Amino acid sequence: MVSRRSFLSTALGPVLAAAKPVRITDVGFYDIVIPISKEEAEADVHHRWPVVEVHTDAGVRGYSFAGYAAEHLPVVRRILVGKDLFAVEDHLKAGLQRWGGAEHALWDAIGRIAKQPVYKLLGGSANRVKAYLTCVWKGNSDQSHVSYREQAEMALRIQKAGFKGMKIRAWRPNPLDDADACNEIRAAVGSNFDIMFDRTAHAPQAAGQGVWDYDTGLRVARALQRHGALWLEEPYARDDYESPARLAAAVDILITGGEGYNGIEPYHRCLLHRTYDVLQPDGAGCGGIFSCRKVSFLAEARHVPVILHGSMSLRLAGWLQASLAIGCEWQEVALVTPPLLPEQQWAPGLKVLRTPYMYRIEDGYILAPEHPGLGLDINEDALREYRRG
Amino acid sequence: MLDRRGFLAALAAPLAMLRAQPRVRITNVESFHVRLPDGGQPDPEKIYSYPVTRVHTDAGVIGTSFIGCPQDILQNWVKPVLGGDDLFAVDRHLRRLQMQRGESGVQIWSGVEHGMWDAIGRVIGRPVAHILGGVRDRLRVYRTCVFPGKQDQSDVVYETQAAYALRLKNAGFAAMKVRAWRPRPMDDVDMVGVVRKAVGPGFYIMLDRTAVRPGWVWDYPTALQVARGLEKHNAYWLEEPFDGNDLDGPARLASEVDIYITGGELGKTLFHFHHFLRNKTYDIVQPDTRICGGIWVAKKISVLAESFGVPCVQHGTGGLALAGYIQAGCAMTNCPWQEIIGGPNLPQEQWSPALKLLRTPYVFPIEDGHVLLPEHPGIGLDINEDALKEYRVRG
Repeated sequence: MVSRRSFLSTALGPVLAAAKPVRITDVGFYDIVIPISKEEAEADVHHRWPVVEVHTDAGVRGYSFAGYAAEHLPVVRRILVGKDLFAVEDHLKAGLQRWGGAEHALWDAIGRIAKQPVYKLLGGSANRVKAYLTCVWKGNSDQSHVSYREQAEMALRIQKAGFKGMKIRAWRPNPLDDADACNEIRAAVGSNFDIMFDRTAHAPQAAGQGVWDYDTGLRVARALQRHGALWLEEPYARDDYESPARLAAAVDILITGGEGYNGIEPYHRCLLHRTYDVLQPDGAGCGGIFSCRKVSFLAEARHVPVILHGSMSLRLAGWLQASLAIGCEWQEVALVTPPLLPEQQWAPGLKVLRTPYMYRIEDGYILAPEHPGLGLDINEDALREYRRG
Repeated sequence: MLDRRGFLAALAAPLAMLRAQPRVRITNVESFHVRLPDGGQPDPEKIYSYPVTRVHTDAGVIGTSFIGCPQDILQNWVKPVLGGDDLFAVDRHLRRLQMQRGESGVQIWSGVEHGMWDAIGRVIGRPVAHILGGVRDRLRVYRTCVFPGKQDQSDVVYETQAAYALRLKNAGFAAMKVRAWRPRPMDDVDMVGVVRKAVGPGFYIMLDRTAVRPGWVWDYPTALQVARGLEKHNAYWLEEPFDGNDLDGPARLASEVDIYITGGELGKTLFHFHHFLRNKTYDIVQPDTRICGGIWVAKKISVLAESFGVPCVQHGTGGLALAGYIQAGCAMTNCPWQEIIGGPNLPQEQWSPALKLLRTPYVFPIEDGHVLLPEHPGIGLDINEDALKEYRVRG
């Protein structure tokens, strides 16, 4: 009797290709650096990206610009080389969960083999996503040197460019000052523009501050609510699952968070404790595109929205695919350095693309890329040209 | 010098369009039946008749599932939502369909959902399991056998069940599930004792009470007594000992006994399973990818169960409909088994008439008690289009 495999290779081979496993043959980590002027560098124009390059025996390569330092390459190689490209859940379990930016490169390769953008393979919920810009001014990390007027002007500039929302830090030494900033921004932009505030959990340590106590969070949230802010993000510590829940129950403004977790377990815990009104997994930090999708399933079971924590420029490609697959209401673009707008800040990245744009942005929405994989039409010659190390 | 933007706009943009796959649109959805030849002497344990649902696309690819969809649902609900729309937008389509019919309706278009995934897999040239996480390439089979005779199996002698278990074991299968419907509940415990004696210790035996289907529901002390009795004979699990909507009874039993208490086959949508999981209703949840809303919903449920640390072992089916179940199961991190339901024969015998519809020498490849993820793209069936035409039931 003809064996199963030989039958397939002879009788069926030409009709429809059988799904041979695609093996990962190598992984590379390197930086690309695009020369820019001193002025551009001072303005915080992006020009350096850590690249993850995944090679397969199908002749297709996958790329991610959310990479890691080369010293981490042996770990990721051990997880991936020789393995079946499509076995994403296995890779996550084998340790890739910690290297979400590398997972993006796998999906880029998968999408290129499938000749489809990744978001379509994972549910294809939306064809565009509303962008909000997270602005952090150069200078003091607590933004105490930035006037409310400057913040209002940036909001106007963002609004004029078609965007529908802006997020700023709630780090000022006197917490209620940020609510006053909200008031001034609201007066400038009118009612059709969303303003979000980010306390960023423990991060204000950088400005010599501690985590807010519950009452401070409550006072700020109430004041922000009065001035029509959309949400207050991470008002308390990341391992405090109770206080945000308590605050969320006490105020109407949305209390959001979740960028600091890896794997689906912490999100499960957030949902059990009703910690946040909106979950914000990071597109790479939580484990990658597939992990974001898994978090969205957990959240969907409780009717909790997911809005990804953001990224910027070429890195954003993977975040964008996850957002579109899930159908997130917003995609954060971060960090924007005023007075630059995103397309000015990431312009040097166009040098490695074959398109005249990085993402198509219309009326404040980022449109779903049509190119397969993560959606960037990469010029591999240019990657070689700008490669360092 | 030609400026970069102008140059690219002129050259690279059309190039980029060439490289991108055009959007694949659904052009039509149809559902009909096929009747396969039985040689004039149909074997009651074989399947000769299948509903078929086909999703046609403008990419020249047709997705096929062997799960039906009623014509009025197709015309009034499914086609208006899917017609002309993006094949790949499964999540969006399911949400819109569910908006129209509510939670209770989700199983009505599962044949369409399986068909969409078949088309997606064929367009991209991969098995569906590969893009849903691609966890495994085989699932261990457990055979659920309903013996001919009375529904409650009270006229089936224990030795018949034991002999069949032995046949399964000798054919390489690792597990058998039978009904626990006998009028005297402890009779089923005795039966398991006889089966256990025949097959020895290394074979899994599961019992299915099937919730309200026997026509009467056990009270708690009865279930406890049965579960304790099954433990003595080292049975693997007791399925749906109480009403399928009872969130607390199974939880109480599961906390009191060591044998796994399982269930959930009639659960619809993610939300239903969330209730099971929140209430610790079952040790193992058992979504049915035909009833819960589809392959995509089954994967979601599996992830939800994973977050609760609960295995998700799919409820099964018998014939060609199994294709979608295998894809879903192979994409789940927590689904080590696939149920195949039928009479006292082997799965390969049960579905053998369907070979006439396929271009493969097997319906589903079985090896060493496992069903393998087929190599064919989509949900894995290499359909012979001519045969599908030939055996189509007209009218």
